[in-house]
Formats: sequence, structure tokens, C-alpha cells
Amino acid sequence: MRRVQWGPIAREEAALLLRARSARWLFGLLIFVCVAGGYLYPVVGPEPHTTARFSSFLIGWLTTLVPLIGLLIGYNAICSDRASGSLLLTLSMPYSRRDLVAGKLFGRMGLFAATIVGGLLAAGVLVVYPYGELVVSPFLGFAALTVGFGLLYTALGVAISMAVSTKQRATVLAFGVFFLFVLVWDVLEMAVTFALVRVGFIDGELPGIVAFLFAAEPGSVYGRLIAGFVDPAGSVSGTWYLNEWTALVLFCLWIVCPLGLAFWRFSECDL
Amino acid sequence: MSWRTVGAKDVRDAGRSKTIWLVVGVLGLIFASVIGLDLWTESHLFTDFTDFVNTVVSILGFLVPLIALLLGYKSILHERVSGSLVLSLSFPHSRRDLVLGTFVGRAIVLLVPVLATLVLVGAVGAVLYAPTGSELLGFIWLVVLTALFGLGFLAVAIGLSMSSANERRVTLGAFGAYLVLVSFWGTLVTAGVQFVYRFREGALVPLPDWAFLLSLLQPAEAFNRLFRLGFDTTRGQRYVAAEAPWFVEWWMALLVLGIWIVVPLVAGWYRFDRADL
Repeated sequence: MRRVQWGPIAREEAALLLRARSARWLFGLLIFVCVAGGYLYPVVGPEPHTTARFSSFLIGWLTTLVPLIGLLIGYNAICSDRASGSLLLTLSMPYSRRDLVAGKLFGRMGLFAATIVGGLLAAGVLVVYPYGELVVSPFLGFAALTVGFGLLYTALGVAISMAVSTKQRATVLAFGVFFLFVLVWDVLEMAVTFALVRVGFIDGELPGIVAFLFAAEPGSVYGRLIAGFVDPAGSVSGTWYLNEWTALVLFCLWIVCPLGLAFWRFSECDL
Repeated sequence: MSWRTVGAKDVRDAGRSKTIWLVVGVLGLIFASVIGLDLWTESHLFTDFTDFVNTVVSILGFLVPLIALLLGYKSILHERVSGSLVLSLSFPHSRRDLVLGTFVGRAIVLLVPVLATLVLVGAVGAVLYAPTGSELLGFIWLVVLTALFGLGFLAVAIGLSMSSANERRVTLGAFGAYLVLVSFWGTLVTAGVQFVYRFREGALVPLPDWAFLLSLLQPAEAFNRLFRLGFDTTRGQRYVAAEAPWFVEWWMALLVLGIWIVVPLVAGWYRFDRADL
């Protein structure tokens, strides 16, 4: 078994990311959103105030911000090095392509995960004191799922970065994914439902396979996981392909598959 | 260990400053006018010695910090900016000797006139308002407390003076330290409690336990808490009320004053020790 060598690359990546002003702003924004959410939750959120129910309060903001940050810190990881040629230089040292990708992903992700955990911890303190109640294990689950959600989008960004050869294409693809999944996905679902109802194909409910496809979007999967496993007040559909266990499988697939496919392509290609 | 030399020089230097003597003069003048007015108008402002000492303490509470900060905030900085610090360090003094000597020297310049004035005022008060034995003991305790209180602000000033070579920043810092530590601390604590309690009504009554500790962290409040040991007054009454937590006892107040002496000096030293002069 070969020694795992991605440590130095990961440290280098984390240091580079911390030096970038835009990344610092994004991380600061995330912490601010978490803290502001924790502060406002006892004021505007419904009773009773617990750290478990807090997850549903924060999720609307997280499903927008976490994908944005994940994609932005991920899409640039490989392709800009590839364009500038420093990728070849790194690979001339005793690192495999796998070390390189793992280092890039974990270095960036580590910083992101630390930010998420820090922000949620501060938010949790504000929720618990003075009005709320601490419910430990759902809150830990919430933090773990949110870190997983961050990992999902960072992995998606790195996958995009591996799959294309220029920074321009990666930018277009990353923003395309963000636009499609985060901004217009709900609108698209409503439009499709509306059109199908108008032509008389269905009466209100989408057919199973289409509903599954629309529900397979990462943000919606994350929302179902929170509703199913974390928030005691949340509810998920009883249909098997829309319940939280299927969502868990989809969540893992979203983390592994894009990265795996892109890595397969990247490992075969001529730099 | 040549800090004695530095300290002796510092006493002579700082003793020449006119501002300090002016402010100390103002301190004496205020005391004199308070007593004088009371005697002249025969209005009997003070019912007893405790009442008189209470008024003395209010005057000390805003003037001693002012004197200490004015005395200390340029101590290291001025030498650093003018270059005489480098010259001093070319003698066999270490930076530690310089800082220690400066602190001791300024402490002498601060405490000798202030405490002398205080003792004089106390003697006059004792003649006029007939103290009991325990009140006299309390007054001795007050002299010790005033020394600790003054040393705390002197430490803040010297810490600031060590922290930077930027004159404007240190001046603003000393000004800000006075405003925060003397004027606005209580307001800030109240605002903080209301912020954490989301501005709901009833957040301030009863005050949460940690807010008692935060307000005791103000030097003047720690002073008041300790002052209660010597005199039966309304000062620091909130800390002995029924809803006050156990950790705002007198030992905590003593610890707070100790912290105000040690922490600013250590923090300033941390930056000064690493600074390129």
C-alpha cells in the first residue's frame, strides 16, 4: 500500500484559500448568516425554541449560501493550475493525480467545514441562551449534514474543475449549476406541473418518476434529510422514493458520483 | 537588574511635568472647596464621616483614572518616538528593566501626591465629622484601595504606551480607555444584556448572573465592592443583594483589580518585547 501523500497539498490549498479576499468574505458571510439566524430565531421563529427546530429556520439561507461557497471554492481548484501549467510542476513531484485531487478537495473543504461548524456553534449558543433548549444529537446531526452539504457542492465544483480544461468553461459550468439547481429549480418544477395540468395530462400531482427527478436536486435532498432526521416538527413524504432514507442514498451518490466520473475523465486525459 | 536607576530617573522626569501637578492641584482644590463650602455656608452636607468619605470617593473615581492615564500613556511612547529609548537600551538596561522602572517610577509619582492629598483630606474630615474607630480603619483600607485602583489605570496607560509607536493611536486609546472604563462600562453591560435577551421587557430585572460579573469587571465597581468592606454605604449594594450570585464576593473584586494591574502590562509587554524599535 502506497503512503497517502495529500497532506502537504491540502495545507497549501487551505493557506492559499485563506489568503484570497473573496474566500474570506464568503466565509465571513456564512458565519454572519448563521449568527444572525441564531439571534433572530427566538424573536421570529415559532415556539418551542430548540436547537433541533432551529435547523428548519436556517435551512432556507443555507441552501442558497452553501452551494454558492462550495462551487466558488471548488471550480477553480484544478483548472486554473492546469491552464497555468503549475499542475504539471506539482505532478512532477512524487504526487499522483489522486493525491492532488484529494489534497485540493480536502484542503478547501477543511476550511469550509471549520467555518460551518464554527458558525453553527455560535448560532447554537445564541439559540440556547437565554430562551431556547439544547437538544444535542439532532443539532450535531444538523451540523454533520450541513458539512456534508458543503462537501457535496465543493466536490461538485472540483468535479467541474477536473472535467474541463479552461477556467472559462469551469466558470460557466459552475454558475450554470448554481443557476439551475439553486435559483430556477423550484420555478422549473412549478412550470412543468402547470404545463402538464394545462394539457390535461395530470391533475395536480406530478407522475412518480418526474417527482423523483425534481426531488433529487441536492438542496431538496438536504432539506428532506433535515426534515426527516433532525427537525421533530418536519415531515417527509411517505412514498419510498421521496422519503429520507432514499434521500440519504442520493446524498451520498451526489458526493461520490460527479467526483468519481470527473476523476475518471481527469485521470485518463493528457494534460 | 538596573530598573532602580530607570525608576529614579523616571520619577525625576515625570515629576517635572506641569500637567500632572495641575491635575493633582485640581484634585486638592476640589476637596478643599467641598469642605470649605460646607463650612462656609454651614449647610451640613455631610451627616457623618461615612457620608463625607462617600463624596471623597466619587471625586477620586473620576480624577484618579484621569491622572493615572495622563501620567502613563506617553511614558514609553515618548521615549520611543524621540529615540531616547534606543539610547537607554544601549546602556546595560534590558527592555524589562525599562518597563519595570517606568512602572515603579510613575507609580511613585502617581501615588505619593494622590495618597498624601487623600490622607490630608481624611484628617480634616476626621476633625470635622467625628469618625468611629471602624470608620478610621475603613479609611486606611480606602487608602490601600485607592492605590490599587490607581495602579490599575496606570497599568492600562503603560500597557497602551508599550503597544504601539503610533502617537495618535495611543492617545486615542487612552481617551477611549477612560471613556469605556470610567463612563460607559455600565451602559455597555446593560446594552449587552438587552441585546442577548432580544430587547424583551424584563431582561434587566433580575439581571442574569454573568452580567453581575461583567459589571464587577469595571475597576470602579470592583473598587466599590471592596469599599463596602470598610464602610456601610450604598456603593456596590447590588453585589450583596439577594439575587446576586456567589461569585461577586469581595475576593472577586480584589482579583479584578489584580487583573487590571497585570493583564494590560503583560499584553503591552507582549507587543513591546517583539517590536522593532
